[in-house]
Amino acid sequence: MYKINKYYKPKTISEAAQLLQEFGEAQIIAGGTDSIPGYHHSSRRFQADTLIDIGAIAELREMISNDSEIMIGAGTSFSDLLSNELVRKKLGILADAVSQIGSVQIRNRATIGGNISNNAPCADSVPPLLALGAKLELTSWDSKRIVELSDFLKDAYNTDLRKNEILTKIIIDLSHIQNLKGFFYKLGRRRGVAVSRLTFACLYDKSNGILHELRFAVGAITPIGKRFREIEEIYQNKKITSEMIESLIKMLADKVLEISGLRWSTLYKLPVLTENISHHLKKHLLE
Amino acid sequence: MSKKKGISRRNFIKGVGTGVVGSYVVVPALNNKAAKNLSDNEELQLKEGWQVLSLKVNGKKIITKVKPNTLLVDLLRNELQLTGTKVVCNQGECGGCTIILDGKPVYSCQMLALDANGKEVTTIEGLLLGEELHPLQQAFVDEDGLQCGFCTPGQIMAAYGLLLKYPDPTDEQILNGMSGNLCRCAAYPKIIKSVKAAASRIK
Ligand code: FES
Ligand code: FES
Repeated sequence: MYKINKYYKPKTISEAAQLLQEFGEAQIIAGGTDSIPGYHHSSRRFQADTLIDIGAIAELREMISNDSEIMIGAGTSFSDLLSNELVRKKLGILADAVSQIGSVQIRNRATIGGNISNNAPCADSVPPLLALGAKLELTSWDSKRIVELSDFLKDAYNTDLRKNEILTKIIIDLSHIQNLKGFFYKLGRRRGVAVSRLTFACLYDKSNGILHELRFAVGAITPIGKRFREIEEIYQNKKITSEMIESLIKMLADKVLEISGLRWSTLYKLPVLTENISHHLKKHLLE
Repeated sequence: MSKKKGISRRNFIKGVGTGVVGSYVVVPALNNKAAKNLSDNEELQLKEGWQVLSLKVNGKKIITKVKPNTLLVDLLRNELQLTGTKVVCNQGECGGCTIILDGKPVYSCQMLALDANGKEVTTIEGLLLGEELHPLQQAFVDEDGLQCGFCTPGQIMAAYGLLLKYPDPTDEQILNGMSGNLCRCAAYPKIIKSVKAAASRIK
């Protein structure tokens, strides 16, 4: 079977970072829900024979919050995230997305950090985190850096994570999202254990028929989760009308087509995207 | 090591030896066949990175040695002969290999055996009370919650995990809790009925 012949299970971030520095080509593993099947299929991304299991590092499962930010340990499982009241209250669209990932069995093991660093096109926690403006803390044995999630995600299954770095924290600045409401929409082939075909995360602030702020990101229909700031800006402080929502969706559909190109599935996905998103946006913005 | 600053391999391993990276078996320190007088078998194990694993399975303490690439489900089925747990898709999609790990249902095909070190595992065999079926198992019999029965151990373990969390589950909690388990025979209505029956009996 797999060529894994060294397995380390450090107890602290600094031990893990030292091991990673030492081995260079080691694979970090947490819940294993992506990496074990990856090894099993001899995926080219999972070739390292040394595993560093960060699942026993308590620091990585901590959630720290104050008035201005929430910091989620990258090793937090989706189940633990869901049972956290703060997450449900303050980061509703994230909780919504996470509750639909895989199955109970997967959510009990899979971690938020794993979902981000694997960077699959269909990673369901990514669109809400993009809309929330999440930042990441990356730790190596001798340094730490903070990057924007949107900069971290390079292309499908590829990120800005350096060989000696571990994704340690997801940081969400609360000061900018205090007034935002939102929703998350997922389309899969079935409800349980479904790989997303389309995800859409949206945050907005409106009053008296005016859209003060709009943020949105999609997943699965673009090569990686993607937020569309250029479009968001155009519709900032605009009066909310059906026509305005339709023109927004047209712009979004054109952009998705531009990024993803025409594929065999476009004929299906694009109308599904526009219909569903227009339905949800109208429901939330017009009412 | 050219680009990497800082710790050299030697210093690092020294560090490990002095307890900086405490609790696991550190192979390089033992890597001297002559000095240790190893048998061929032990030498092979050393090369393959075998490690000691201790865990609790169905209430019994197990101490064994495994290759790092051993999946938990393979340890259970092949080493411990607990073949009630099934391998079906072997990639975390069907639920056939569901077991309870420290009180929560997980797919045992999706994790390494070594990852269960120090943890507690319950398999379908662990539900039996002597010769007697667990109320959940009995409910599946009584309500006909199966056709071919191949998915049943996984279904029952998922249900067991569900009832640990919600002893009195709502319909929605049942559907949600059981959605990670596929049934090729599509016995779903009766599976759900069995879970409900068990829940009300256990209550
Ligand atoms: S065999 Fe593990 S989920 Fe299918
Ligand atoms: S009873 Fe046959 S697979 Fe479920």
